[in-house]
Amino acid sequence: MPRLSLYRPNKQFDYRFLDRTISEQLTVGGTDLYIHKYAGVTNQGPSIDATQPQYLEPNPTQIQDLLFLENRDRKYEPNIYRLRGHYNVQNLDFDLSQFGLFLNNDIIFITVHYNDMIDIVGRKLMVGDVLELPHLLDYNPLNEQLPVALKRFYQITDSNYASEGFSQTWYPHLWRIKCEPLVNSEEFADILNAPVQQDNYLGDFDPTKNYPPGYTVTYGGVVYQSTTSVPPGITPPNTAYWQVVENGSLADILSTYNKNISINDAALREAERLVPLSGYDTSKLYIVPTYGDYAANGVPSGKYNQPAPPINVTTNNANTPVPTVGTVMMIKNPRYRNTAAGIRIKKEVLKSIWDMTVDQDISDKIDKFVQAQMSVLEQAPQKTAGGSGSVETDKVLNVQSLGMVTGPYGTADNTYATADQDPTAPGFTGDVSINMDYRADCIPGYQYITRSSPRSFGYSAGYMTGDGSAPNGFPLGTTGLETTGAGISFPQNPQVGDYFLRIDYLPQLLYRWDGTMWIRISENVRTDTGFGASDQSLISSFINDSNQIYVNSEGTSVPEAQPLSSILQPKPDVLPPE
Amino acid sequence: MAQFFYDNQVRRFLIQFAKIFSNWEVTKGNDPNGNPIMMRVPIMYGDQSRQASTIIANNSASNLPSAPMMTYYITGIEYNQKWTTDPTFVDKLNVRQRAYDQETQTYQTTQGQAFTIERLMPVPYTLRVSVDFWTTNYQQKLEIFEQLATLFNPALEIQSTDNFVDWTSLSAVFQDGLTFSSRTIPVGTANPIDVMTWKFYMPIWISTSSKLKKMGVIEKIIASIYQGNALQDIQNEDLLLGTRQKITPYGYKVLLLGNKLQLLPANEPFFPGNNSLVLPDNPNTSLYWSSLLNVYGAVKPGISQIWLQNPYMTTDIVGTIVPDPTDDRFLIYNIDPDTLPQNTLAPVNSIINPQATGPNAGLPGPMPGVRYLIVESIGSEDATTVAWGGLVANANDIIQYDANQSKWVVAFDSQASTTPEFVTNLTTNVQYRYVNTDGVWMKSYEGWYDQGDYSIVI
Repeated sequence: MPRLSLYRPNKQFDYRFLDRTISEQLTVGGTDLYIHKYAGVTNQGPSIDATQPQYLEPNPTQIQDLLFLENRDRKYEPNIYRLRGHYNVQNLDFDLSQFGLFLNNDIIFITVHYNDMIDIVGRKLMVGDVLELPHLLDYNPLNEQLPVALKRFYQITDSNYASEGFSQTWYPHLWRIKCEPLVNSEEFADILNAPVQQDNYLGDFDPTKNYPPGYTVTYGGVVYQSTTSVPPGITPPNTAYWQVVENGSLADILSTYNKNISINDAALREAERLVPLSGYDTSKLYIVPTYGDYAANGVPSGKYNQPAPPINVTTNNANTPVPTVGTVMMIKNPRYRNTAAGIRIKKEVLKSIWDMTVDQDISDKIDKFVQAQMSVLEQAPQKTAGGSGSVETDKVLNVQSLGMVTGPYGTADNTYATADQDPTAPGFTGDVSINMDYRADCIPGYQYITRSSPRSFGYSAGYMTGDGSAPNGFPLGTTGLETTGAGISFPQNPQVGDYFLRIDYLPQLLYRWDGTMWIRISENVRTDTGFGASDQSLISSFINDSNQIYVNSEGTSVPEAQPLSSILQPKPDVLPPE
Repeated sequence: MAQFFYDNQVRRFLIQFAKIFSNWEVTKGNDPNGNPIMMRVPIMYGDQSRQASTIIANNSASNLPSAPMMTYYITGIEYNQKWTTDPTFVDKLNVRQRAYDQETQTYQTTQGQAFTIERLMPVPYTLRVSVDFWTTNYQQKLEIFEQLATLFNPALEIQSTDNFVDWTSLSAVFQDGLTFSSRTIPVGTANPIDVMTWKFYMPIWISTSSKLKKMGVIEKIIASIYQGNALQDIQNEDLLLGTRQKITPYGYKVLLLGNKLQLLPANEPFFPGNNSLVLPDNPNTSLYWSSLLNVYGAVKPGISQIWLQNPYMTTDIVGTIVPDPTDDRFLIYNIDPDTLPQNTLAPVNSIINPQATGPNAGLPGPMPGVRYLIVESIGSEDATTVAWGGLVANANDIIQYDANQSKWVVAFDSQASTTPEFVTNLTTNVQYRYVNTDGVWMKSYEGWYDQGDYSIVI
């Protein structure tokens, strides 16, 4: 008679009795676990790296990275297995010592019935499998707009036989798994990138299938929806057939990623508001124009560094009046619509008139720039003492001063007195360039003033201040021909004060014509920051280089950005998939 | 009074610091064709409050933390003793703005306001910041590291504002050590997330508020320069301040006639001089006030002032200025009458030469109270004239018709005068001044003002 022993070399009735009892206990007292079974490594495409082979079909025995020994892109079976398990519920505290990212003590140890696990899952639960605990479904998140209750996911980080699961037969009945909260990371993208809306979800894209419109698939970690009937072989993201489904995945709802990105974007917007471009913004500063060596081409100014006044463009020097004789003339300004009548006299004559009237009680003395009414009067002929004299009357020009000009040329508040003075009004026909000011409070001679252009950026020049624009906001280009303000060669007939931006240099160079030569006054060095495509800094030109160059030997264009390790090297053949 | 000044200075550096680490991407595997799937790595401030953390986590334990991500946080701010410079230094900066058109919301090519800004020497500090890189695998960690590792060689410039005036805005981010992993190796993965900590520091300047002042500079400048023997000059107490020299912008002069101020070049002769009764003519010049005033700021009509320093007065003459709408060479000068000398004598109707004109002979007939300032003597003790009767007066006297006596009398005897007298000519409204020692009437304030004798207050 054999000795009494619960242990048997083979599992017998005792074992099976106990096993069924334990299974029943877990069924009665345990909770459901939804198992996302790890299937293997996602097909990462052709590879030339022997340490990162391509796997066409997932298999849990695969290791994706044979150097770092990690599986980053995990494939999970589309089917979810339901299993009963048991664990001790514990109180959880948010651990902010790690910046609130973790529920650090949310580590639970679940025991499941071993044979049930094998029967249902097909293998032991392993590190990398993912669990859902449906009894922890959160129906009341802070954001009440979420379309579904939040699932509680865990990943298995350790698994082994449970010590309490060994029965008197010395055979184990329980499998113990250590579970930690899932992280929205590359490893679990296959689960978390699945759309929340599963009704029309057809799983991973299959190039052999035909997809009717309105259905969703996953391709390359992105969920796409067919916009029309898709024949076999039309791979996303072909926009004629597919559109990306935004914010429809589990990760979008469960994870902090989108919030983190929006928080990051807010900081970026503020950073760009504070510093839109590198360097200093001097465009709002004013530089006093001063004379250079030349007032015009070949005309020395003689007032070097003195403030340059506005250039009166209406001077009518060609009609110099005859000395000592008042000349009635119509003053015509080609830039002004209406001509104005006036008397032009020498200043000596004016002085004489003024002297004659200075001590008289005449409110409106004849003076410069007064408005005058002119008429022709006939003066009776004077007779001599003897009674003889001319029989004809003398005709004289009568001038009556009406005082200073107050209209119709303008008003004190610098508004346009009449519509036809307004360069923006339809009736205006004058030729006004954008670097002229309009002064409505002046006589026509001062209606338009061409501003002198500063010779440099003056006090505002400094480290990283040039942005390619001219001082005081002057337009680039030749006076009156502003469209020629930038190019790869200088214009032929520049005028003193013209600015020109040479765009064939890097950084671009801003020049000013001083009468005899182009003087370089600035470099366009201000640039966007942040290493984006518009960041023109040296380091960014290497970091963010999307240029292509044509390589004759290969007969194709290749990216300008090349790794030093493989530049100009022939590409090795792709390794066969395993 | 309680004090408060806060300008987000550290915060602005942190914002820009975050920008350095923003918009970087890592791969999230490949698609079946071998094309990498990219994802952006967010960065946010690490030391967040419990409530903000709860809100981000949707107040749910089901919420999933996301990786990879970056967090940054201040680990220290230290006073930078080595960078200390003169703490009492005040830098002054003159800034002119371009005029701003509120209607079109654009800046003009003309000058707007002008200011003087005084900046006190800021205080140097070292701002230490750490960045944590949260990753779940080596591949992504090295992808982030390799991209960022080329930026700080040895430092990367950072800028907290693009304000031209802010001399504290520039700094640089220096590396200060890196802890590659938070894991204890080799022990296997205890925590699915690994943290790489990269330390940085930035030399920064913290500044108190600056002083913004309306640029009223202009004026004459008192410059101290030594002339002659410097050693003797230094020992001479009278010359302790050096030799004072008045300087007016570009040596320009001004001429005040009536209510018009004309700008004159430095070489303009004063003829006739201020000691003449005759008003000078406005010289034919091409100097424009707008071009001079633009140097100092935008003129506010009726508010901006010019102060004239008259050598015969102890106080300045103050008047507001308005650009002459008809001629840019002139300013309309509205003098504050309180700053002018007060008339000590009743005004005269005119200035006349009694030998050339007289009542009913070029002048109106005698009226009670009519007063003339005469530029030539008239009459003698034993003779009378048709026009003036028995009047005996000297040049520079003021004569007046006395209706009670029906004759002309001397109202002001220039020869007997002992104090300065002021009188206005009603015909020209010019005020004249008389001092017995000079023996001549001269314009009291109208006329020429030399360089250094006027000040512009924008």
